[in-house]
Amino acid sequence: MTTTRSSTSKANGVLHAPAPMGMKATTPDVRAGWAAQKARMGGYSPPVRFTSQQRAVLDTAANLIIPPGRGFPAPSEVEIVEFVARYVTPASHEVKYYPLAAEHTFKDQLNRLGQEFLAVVPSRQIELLAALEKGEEADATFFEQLRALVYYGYYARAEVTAAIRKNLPAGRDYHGPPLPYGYDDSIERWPDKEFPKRGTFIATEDVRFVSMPTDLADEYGVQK
Amino acid sequence: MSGWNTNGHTGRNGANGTRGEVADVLIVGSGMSGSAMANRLCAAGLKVTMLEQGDWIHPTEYAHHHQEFDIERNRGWSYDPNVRQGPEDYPVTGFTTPYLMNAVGGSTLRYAAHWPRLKPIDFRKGTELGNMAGNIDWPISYEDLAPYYDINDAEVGISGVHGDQTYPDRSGAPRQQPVAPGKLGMKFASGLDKLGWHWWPSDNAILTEAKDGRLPCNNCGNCLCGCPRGSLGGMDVALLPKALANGLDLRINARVTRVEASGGRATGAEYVDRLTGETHFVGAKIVVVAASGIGTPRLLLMSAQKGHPDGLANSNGLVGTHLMHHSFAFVDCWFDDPIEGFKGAFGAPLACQEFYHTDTSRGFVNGLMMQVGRSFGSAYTAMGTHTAAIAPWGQDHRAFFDSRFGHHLMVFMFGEDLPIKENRVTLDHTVTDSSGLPAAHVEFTVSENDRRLCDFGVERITEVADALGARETNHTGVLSPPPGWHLMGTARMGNTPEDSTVNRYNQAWDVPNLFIADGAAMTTGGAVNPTSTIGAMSTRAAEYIAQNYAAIVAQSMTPSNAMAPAL
Repeated sequence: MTTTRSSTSKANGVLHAPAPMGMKATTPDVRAGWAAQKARMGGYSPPVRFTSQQRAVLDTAANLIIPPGRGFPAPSEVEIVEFVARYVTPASHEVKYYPLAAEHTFKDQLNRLGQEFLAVVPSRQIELLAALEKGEEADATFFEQLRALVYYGYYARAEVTAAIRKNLPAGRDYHGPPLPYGYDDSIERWPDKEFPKRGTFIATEDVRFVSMPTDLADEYGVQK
Repeated sequence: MSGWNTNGHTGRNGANGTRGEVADVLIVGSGMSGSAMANRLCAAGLKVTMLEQGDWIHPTEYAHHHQEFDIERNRGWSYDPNVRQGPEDYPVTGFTTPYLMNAVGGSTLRYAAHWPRLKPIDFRKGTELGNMAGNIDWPISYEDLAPYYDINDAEVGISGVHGDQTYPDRSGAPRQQPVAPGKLGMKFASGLDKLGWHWWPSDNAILTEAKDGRLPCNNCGNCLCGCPRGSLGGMDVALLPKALANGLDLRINARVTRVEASGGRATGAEYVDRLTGETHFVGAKIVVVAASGIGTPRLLLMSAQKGHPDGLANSNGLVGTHLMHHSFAFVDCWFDDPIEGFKGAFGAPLACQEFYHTDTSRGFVNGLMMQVGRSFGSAYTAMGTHTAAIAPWGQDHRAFFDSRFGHHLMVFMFGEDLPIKENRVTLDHTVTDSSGLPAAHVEFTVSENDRRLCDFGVERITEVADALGARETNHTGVLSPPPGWHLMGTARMGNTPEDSTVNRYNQAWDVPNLFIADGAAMTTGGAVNPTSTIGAMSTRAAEYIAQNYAAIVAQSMTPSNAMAPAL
């Protein structure tokens, strides 16, 4: 018999459950679908807003992390800041999704670099970034987040995908997002010939006890 | 038949049929096991209710069309429920990297879909290895299961090639054309040829021809994040539409809190409707738990009650024990010539089973498979591919990236792991899911034998790479904990009520009308992906239920393997 026990079991109901796994107190409506209850695809909307100086620091650092050249654009030319702004977690949200960069902490680090970073020559800028990478935990974490955001953001850009196609023979067919195109028109099929027939199987009736290496037999206490 | 059934969005909580009635069979979970069971039982005319704590995933929700698809795999599209943190997910604590999905179709929604079978020897590990670790023989043989492999293969739709000599004849199972190998697959095959080692094009649950309204694969390469085309053998498109057409009562967002029992028999299950928070009870004459090798023991342990103080079907204390994941190491290889690993079905274009069988002169027992994988997108190259070989920043970045992107080939070192009793799933009451239910907790140690096996396998893969003139190789070494894609052994099938949780037909020793037919019921794991075996095992159990329904419903004791009727 199907019965309803709602009156006595509210404690088990999702509407009354304690927030698990770091979830926010208000979660999206279950009816919104699977994806709506996860990290928003494409990052946060609205994105984090950076000051002009913070944007300049990000552009400069990104251009040092992935220097332009050999047919590839600079990160600043493909609006890397726009990507970073969507994937840094806004202060209004709980930090729970990769790359776990919190707005205030991330901006504090950008501010620490600040005008001094922008004013020095590139070789010194590289030294400052390297110091972050090898620095205390907070600095190293910031650098790791920054590098990940630059790598993921830069290589997601259509301009960079075009540069891969144009400049890398092994990437001439790469088109970025897997769909809608796929690679059906450019992938090789098996040649029309017999596959090599090697190997065999042990039939059920032929299975026998194996003589175990002594150390394994001892370790596992094997008795025939 | 449409491959995409959105019926569940409006048809929840019994609007499809059996509300107010006792189900003939209640199934918990909609993955490979649950779907195969439902498909077979609904076709046999039984009234089946299925409870799934997740929702349908709509094709437009996948990340495949999104330019930032690479980073999304670390966020909402992570394999790991602890990372996704969806309200339908349950936490898994402990020493583990759990990779599982809670949605209609379960973990078949996003998997490699590599579809190898176990071999005859895999069912006889107790004979081969004696009492080493927790080894016992399966109570069934390959020959017992083979017809059901064929049936399930035909239902799901499998691509591949007949004729692999390392298996008994399996020409009874229809095969579509194999997935395209691309430069990657042919490259690795040529290396194996140089060494004279076995390889064969892999069977995959990936369509290369249209079937049941599902599109053929277009080699986009993102199978591990699902398949909006329906080419991948996700059970939401492969089997559940057929079961729904035959009257399956599928209830989504229905999180089971416990299976109830009375008088030694299961009476049904209590579940929370995650939409309303209301708790319901579904009565059933037979209950099937098909919630994965982690989810199933979690539910059985949560179902502790009068008469079953340590959890349902757990009078011998074995529920949750003997967890197996397979031993893994990843090997990245880079070549000077183009490999184009971003192309092609991830599944596996081919596999090498040259070292599948035990050879104790190597210093370990059991064996391995080399399984070729693919490379994802450009950002994944920059972030280090599979072995964390992250690109340097600064002046060296461009040369590093340019020499690696499209030049990469990855091989999984994939070994059989021993069923160790202490590797286990328990409950963690300090962490809860969104309904307040305890997390699953995993304890896992990679044993010495399996470490030796992994090291040997990495050496052999490196040997192939060397034979091919790879410019560079990099490997993870044995992964500890292993990636938790394969969840096996935690409510295993066995020979007596003392050595296992279920009998040869997946019938719980303690509770005759309770069946467990997912990865948890696997006695050993072989060195192959488990999904085809789970599907075959569940299809076989379903056939047993269909043929013996009245007898099972009347049973007060689970028959011994010898006394259970033959199929």
